Amino acid sequence: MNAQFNLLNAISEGACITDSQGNIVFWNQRLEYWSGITATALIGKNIFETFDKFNQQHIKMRIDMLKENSVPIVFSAQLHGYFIPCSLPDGSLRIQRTTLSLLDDHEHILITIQDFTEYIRVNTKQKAINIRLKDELQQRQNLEKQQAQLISAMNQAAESIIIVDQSGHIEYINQTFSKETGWSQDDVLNKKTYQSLHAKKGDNFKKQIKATIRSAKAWQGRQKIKRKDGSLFIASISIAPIVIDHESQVQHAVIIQEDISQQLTLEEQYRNIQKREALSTLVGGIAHDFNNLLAGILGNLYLASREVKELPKTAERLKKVQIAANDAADIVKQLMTFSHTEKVEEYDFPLDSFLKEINKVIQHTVPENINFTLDFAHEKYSMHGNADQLQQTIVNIIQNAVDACQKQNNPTIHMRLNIFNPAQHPEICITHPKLRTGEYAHISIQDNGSGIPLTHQDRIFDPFFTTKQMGSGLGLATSLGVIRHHNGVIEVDSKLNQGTSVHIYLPLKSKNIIPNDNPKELLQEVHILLVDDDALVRETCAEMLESLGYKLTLARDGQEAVEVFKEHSEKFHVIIMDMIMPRLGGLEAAHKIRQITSDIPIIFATGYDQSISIKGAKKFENSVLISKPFHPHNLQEIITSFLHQEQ
Amino acid sequence: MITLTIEQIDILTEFVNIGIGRAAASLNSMINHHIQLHVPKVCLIQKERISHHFPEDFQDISSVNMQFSGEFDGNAVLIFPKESAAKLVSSLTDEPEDSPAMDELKIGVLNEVGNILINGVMGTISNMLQATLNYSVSDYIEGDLDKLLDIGDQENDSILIAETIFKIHDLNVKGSVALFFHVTSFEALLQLLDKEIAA
Amino acid sequence: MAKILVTDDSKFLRNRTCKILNSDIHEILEASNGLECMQIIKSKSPDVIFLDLVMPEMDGFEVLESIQEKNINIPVIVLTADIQEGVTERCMQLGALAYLNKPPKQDELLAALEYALIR
Repeated sequence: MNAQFNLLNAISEGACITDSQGNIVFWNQRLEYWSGITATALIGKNIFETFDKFNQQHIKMRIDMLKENSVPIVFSAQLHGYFIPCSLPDGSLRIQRTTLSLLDDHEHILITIQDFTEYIRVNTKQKAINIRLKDELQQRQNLEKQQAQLISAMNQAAESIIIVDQSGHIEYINQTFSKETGWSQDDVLNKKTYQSLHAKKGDNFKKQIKATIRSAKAWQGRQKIKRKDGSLFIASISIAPIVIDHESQVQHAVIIQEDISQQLTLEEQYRNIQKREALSTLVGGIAHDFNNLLAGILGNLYLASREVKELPKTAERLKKVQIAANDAADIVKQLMTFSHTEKVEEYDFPLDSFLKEINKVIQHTVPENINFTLDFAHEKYSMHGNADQLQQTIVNIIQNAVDACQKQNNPTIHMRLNIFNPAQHPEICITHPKLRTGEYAHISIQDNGSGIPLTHQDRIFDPFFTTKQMGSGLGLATSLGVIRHHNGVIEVDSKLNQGTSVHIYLPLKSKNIIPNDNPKELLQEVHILLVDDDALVRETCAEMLESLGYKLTLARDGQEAVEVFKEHSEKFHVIIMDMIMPRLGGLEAAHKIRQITSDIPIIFATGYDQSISIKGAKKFENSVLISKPFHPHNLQEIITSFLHQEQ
Repeated sequence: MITLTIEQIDILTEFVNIGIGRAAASLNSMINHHIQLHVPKVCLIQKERISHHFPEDFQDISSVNMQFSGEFDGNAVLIFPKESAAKLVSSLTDEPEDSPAMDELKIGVLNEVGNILINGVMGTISNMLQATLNYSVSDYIEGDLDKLLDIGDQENDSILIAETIFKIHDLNVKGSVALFFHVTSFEALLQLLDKEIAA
Repeated sequence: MAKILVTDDSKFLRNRTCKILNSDIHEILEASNGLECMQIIKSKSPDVIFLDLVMPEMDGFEVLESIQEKNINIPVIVLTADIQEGVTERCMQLGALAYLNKPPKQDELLAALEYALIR
């Protein structure tokens, strides 16, 4: 029996043969050597009983499958370790791969055992070395990466970074420093001391670096720095000693230098804006009170002048009062323009006809002794806004120019309009980034007049600031209001005794849209519900409207208005509604009224802070917001246009 | 070109199903965790189309290969996408997937798993068809699908693919058993199948 | 003479099972998935059900659950390739009467049928 398997003694693997029941029939010499058990001792014994590991349920199951379908079975060294314990000299067990195959007679099972000990040991060792190498490599890479990151971070820092030695010699500069100052590495490294980049000799700052290094204490301050081209800028500077653990003395310092001139300018600008906002709030408040008073004055004047037709002298006086009151109303209006509290009519208008109109006006404004030139680009553009206001603004500025240069020899005013090209004027785009996008018309008015003293330049846009004896001080303030309202920019560039240039940038619409006129006619009897909490406004306004032929019903506040409207909703054609009233405000009342009649035209009237009121009113279709005091003619127009729409 | 009839696909699907079931029982007893089985998808493709047949994740694979000969000759190959292979080994050994010992473990463990699966599938086919087959001991290789499957020498080799998914520990392990047959051998297999269908 | 429902997605195995069960003696109904199986249970109320586990659409476990839920009192013999530990137990918990490995052997199948019919 044994003899036919003797060939298996020649192989370098362990080999064992059992019958289908697991009884050992052959045990090769390699296995004798490995296990220390002789073939004689084993033959005839059952392998499942002799070696526990074969006796596990799942192993037996697979061996059963082998008997059934004769597909060889592999038990990996990695999952099973060993089946037949074979000790090594060091006491550990050989790791084995065990393969079971069914012999052709389907009666015997060949178990071959490969020694994987060395293979796994070498592999494990190799793996450990690999892991260590990989770790070291990774560490080195991390270190290099950190270093590269540090350098790139220093170069990309928004601030200039300089490292100096104890005598102030520059050892390192980052790219920002070169960009900011124009000094290259070659210019400064080891050749210049940082102090020499500063403006004044004998400046105590010079000692600062040495002091910082000596005392190992940081320092911070502001200093003027000289660029390579000689120009100066203000920098915020901090000097910190570089402390290295193993060095007993500080040898180097790091300097962080930041150009803050732009920041200072911005701060200045911000302060100006704040100042103007504050002024605008103050002015808006005063204008509101005046406006309400003027509403009463003008309304009553209108009525009084109708009543005194038989007294020509009184009528004359009243007319003078009316003129003065109208002037006052104009000033209030300008103040409101300045403070953004006035709602103006806005529409699209073509640029060329706007310019034509201005040209006409200028003919009357500029005296003949002044050499006036006009240079208009003829472009097919239109603008959006209020042409009257813009025209008034430009005329104001030209008037200023006339005043400034009238007494000069050879006085000249040059006005130019062209389409703004941001690429040609990068400096203005920095202070006004919005000019970079969209199209703008650039209007410049340049004179060779006396110029504006530096001390005045900050205040020229303040209301009531004037150098003229007869000036109201509202011209430029209003101009600023108008331009800002049109989303434009106004800048003044002036040098004493050389002249002033005013630059206006106004957004353009690319399409040429022609505005159309509305017909104005009153056809039928119109019933108006007038709502205002101010008795004076209510009564004078009612009388005025009645005199125009309207039928009036009055309400003292929103609550009363809603009640009145509920009762006779069908008889009203238009509602004139004050915005701010006790009990129920204008907008809330309008909501309730619209719930009853959804399309009744509503004229919201207000004398105060329209920007707030408008937000809500805009949501109302078929409504309009007008400011007090009303001009009878305007009101009539609005009412008529509503009724036309309705038809 | 050889195509499979619906009946042939049906019977092969069932054989693979039974075979995988047996393999699952073995695996299950090794890991003490139920393996959820799905109906395998069986199809026949031409060898040159093999890389078109498999999705992207099957291009880089772990494979176990076992030759068989007898009434029909061919190669049984089990292929796992690398990711599935790693999941499988990890769940069989409790070693994390990113463990440095993984490469080492993979070779032995996947060889054994492949052996079990091919054992189940080939054993069932040969048993059911009462065909006598001889087998080589299985081999583990990993790499490119194209290169690994460059098995057999005839261009018009037919490859029977049985795709299966098993879930272990809520992990989806995808694997395919690919059986490569020479044309004559494949015809022999089909004849045996038809005989079984007719019986 | 009994009404027997054989449920398996493999036509080959259905045929094989049916052949063993012998249609001369019994009325044999076939279903190729769990859904069909449930429909036939409802419409034909068979005496015994042979049920595969791994099937598309509705698998064998779901059929067992549904039968248990609906309180249908028909003996079910599970026939499956899934021979993993625990599967038998789960089938029995779900009310299966017997559990046979695939491919079913003739004597096992007939013994199970007899067992189901005499209960």
